[in-house]
Amino acid sequence: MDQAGLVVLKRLYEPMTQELNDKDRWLAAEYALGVLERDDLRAAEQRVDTDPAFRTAVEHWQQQLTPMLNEVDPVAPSAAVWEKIEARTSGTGSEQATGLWDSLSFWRGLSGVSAGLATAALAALLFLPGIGVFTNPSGGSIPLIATLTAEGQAPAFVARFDPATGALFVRTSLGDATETRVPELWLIPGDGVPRSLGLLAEAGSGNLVVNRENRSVLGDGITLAVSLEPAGGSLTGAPTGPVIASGKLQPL
Amino acid sequence: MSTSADIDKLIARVALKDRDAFKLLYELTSAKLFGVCLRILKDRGDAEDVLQEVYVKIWNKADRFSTGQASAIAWLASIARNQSIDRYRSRRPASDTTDEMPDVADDGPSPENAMLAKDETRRISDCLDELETKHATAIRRTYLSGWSYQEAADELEAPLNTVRTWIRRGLLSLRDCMNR
Repeated sequence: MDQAGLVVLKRLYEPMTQELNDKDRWLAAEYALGVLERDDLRAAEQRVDTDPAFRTAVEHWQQQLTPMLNEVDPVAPSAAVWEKIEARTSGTGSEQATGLWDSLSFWRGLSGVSAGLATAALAALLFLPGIGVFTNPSGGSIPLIATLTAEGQAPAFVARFDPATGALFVRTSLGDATETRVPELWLIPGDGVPRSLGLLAEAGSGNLVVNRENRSVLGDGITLAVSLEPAGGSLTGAPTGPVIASGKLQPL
Repeated sequence: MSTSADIDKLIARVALKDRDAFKLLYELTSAKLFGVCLRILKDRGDAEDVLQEVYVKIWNKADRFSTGQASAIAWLASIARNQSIDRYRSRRPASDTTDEMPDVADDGPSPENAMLAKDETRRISDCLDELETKHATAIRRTYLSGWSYQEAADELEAPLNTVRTWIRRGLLSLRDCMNR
């Protein structure tokens, strides 16, 4: 790697690897173990919220200590507990879908796809007959593609958008059939309010035609997501079912 | 049988306020987390109150999980432990009149639990076996009971500084062993 590359790399990783001193390391270990009280405990709680290096150290210890909980026997709580939890969390459910969709940290997590998987999906897309980049006659408009995945999973959908024609090609590769629900594709613009782009095939591929309004929004970095909806699609105009994959549009 | 990866996915769905996923997550994990709370609090009523707080927290904070490094189980378990320890410490000290704790032995492994990956568990128990008995006992009992250093000193009937030394030496050896 050249010097400039090293500098960029260093700047990217510096905040995460900045050295904790011995006192901090003990504080992290003891916080994870749970032995701290009063001032030490409050100091540790504050560091967890504000210091990524400290949080990483705590999570590392939690990860190592958790297997000890295997010694703890499961005990069924009474049914009343779930009823209370349900009552306290209702009203923030999927009926209020718009508010939930702008959870940025979650989207970032979902969009992270391993380079290997993305490359494989991209290659598959490029070699599909008729839609390769080199057959695209659109002059200035650059086609955009997105690989839609759930975190850590192989791409479930690959989308290719051609700004010149408004055509959105989507290939579905879902492992198992979804039975009664159908995949619906959503566009998540900057305002976080999802807009439906239409229903997708449960297998194989197809073209969606994007309307003029949505066409102007589709661009570099815009998130696409797929939720499972009742046959015929969401009736509310917002996603109602679980989100099974998402990804960002990027220039081809 | 649920694996850590399944629970990962469920938490991602909970982050999007998917109620079905939340219910399923509760069904898969609540008995284990309740056991963790009960072990620390030793009172069913208190443990049920805390369990409620734990799942409300999971519902509200699930979107923070994907940015973290810990496994799903470690994340859920630390919410349950921290919440239980908070409650335990805020209780009045002399509350050991009723002990509804089910009969759970302090040592010896229990049957396999699907929530925790088997090899991980074996690794930490192997590592604990390598430690000096005093150190291993101090760490295991302190972690499972949610003791502070002071409580560990009282329970293990040793001076505070001695117990702190046991635990710190134990943690160091444990880290070295786990990283091997």
